[in-house]
Amino acid sequence: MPTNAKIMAAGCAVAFFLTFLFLIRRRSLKPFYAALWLGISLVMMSLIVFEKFYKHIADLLQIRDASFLVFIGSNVFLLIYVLHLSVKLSEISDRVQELISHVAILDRRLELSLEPKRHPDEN
Amino acid sequence: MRIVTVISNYNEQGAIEATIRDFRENATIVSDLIVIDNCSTDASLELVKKAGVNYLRHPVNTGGSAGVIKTALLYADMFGYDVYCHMDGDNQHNAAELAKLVQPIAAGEADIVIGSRFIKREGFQSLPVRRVGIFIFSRLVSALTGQKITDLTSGFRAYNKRAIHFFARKFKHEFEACVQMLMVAAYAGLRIREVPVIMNPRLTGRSEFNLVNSIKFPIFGLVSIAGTMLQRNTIKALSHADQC
Ligand SMILES: Nc1nc2c(ncn2[C@@H]2O[C@H](COP(=O)(O)OP(=O)(O)OP(=O)(O)O)[C@@H](O)[C@H]2O)c(=O)[nH]1
Ligand SMILES: [Mg+2]
Repeated sequence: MPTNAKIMAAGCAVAFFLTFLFLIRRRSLKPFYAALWLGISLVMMSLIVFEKFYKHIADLLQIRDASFLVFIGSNVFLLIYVLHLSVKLSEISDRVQELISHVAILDRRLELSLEPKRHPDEN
Repeated sequence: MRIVTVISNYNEQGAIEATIRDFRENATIVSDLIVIDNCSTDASLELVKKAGVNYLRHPVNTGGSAGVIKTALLYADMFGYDVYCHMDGDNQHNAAELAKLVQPIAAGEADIVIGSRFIKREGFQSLPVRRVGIFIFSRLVSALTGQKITDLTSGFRAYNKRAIHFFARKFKHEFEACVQMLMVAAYAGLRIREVPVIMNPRLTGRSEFNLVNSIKFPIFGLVSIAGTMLQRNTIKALSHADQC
């Protein structure tokens, strides 16, 4: 990798890692996603540190350009990840529907059970 | 036999009173009445309260009318009703015909009864484009499930205890009420029956049927069909399972 590209990649990786730390501090990530993104930022950094290692793998897979390996790798990862999110989203929307139904019924029962008690106070 | 009739309401301030009145004056069945409001933003819920009808209110809109059916099924199951009849709040369904929906259930001949406007072809038949869509999908679902259905999209339906319990407690997924719900029902071994009804045109309010939905519906319909076919065995197993 040319030095400029290296600096840029390192900058990206560090910015990514800092964002990740910030989100952890705010507790905006569930442990599973925290671990996942930690792994990703480590992989990003390792791309720069262990450049030779990735070149070697690319050679083994007979991919001439190592950056192409990174490109394919990240695309496959993102596709799987987005699919995973779609599954999670569908599960959550099932659960939300279930909760909406229950809340609607409970809300009304509560309202009805509170109603008679309110009258004596008002008079 | 304890029956609950649910009127589904979403921003139907121009029609909800007439719908309630129709039920009170013309329903020949003995049934409790409850309005389920999908978080309307207009005055319709106030009108329901004023009419003195029991109601439930979703804390947020579920993004479609199927959410109301899900709540209605849960409500009917929780309170031990034998039959749940569904009417739209836009006064398109006639309460006088509720008895026709309940009859096959009372006779033990069906688990879900659909009021179809395409058997006798009288009354409001909806737009030609939509009719063609309903026709094709009804044929497709009929062929795949072996149950004769002509009006998939009709919301005017009655469900018996078995159907109520299956969808309230066993099938714990959101569903789309037309294609998917009926296919799932058929695979779960529920018997679907249609009776001829006459529907009225929508006079006020906004239809769920718009440009976006008319593109979405056929695509989702096909995906639903394929997906449900793949789930066939899971659904069968679910219907036999005792617990959720
Ligand atoms: N559009 C819409 N309707 C809802 C919703 N929740 C409940 N509904 C009710 O669902 C019922 C059916 O909706 P409609 O838009 O009339 O659907 P439709 O009868 O298939 O279409 P039309 O024949 O054009 O009236 C109505 O009683 C609505 O009030 C929602 O979130 N959106
Ligand atoms: Mg309608």
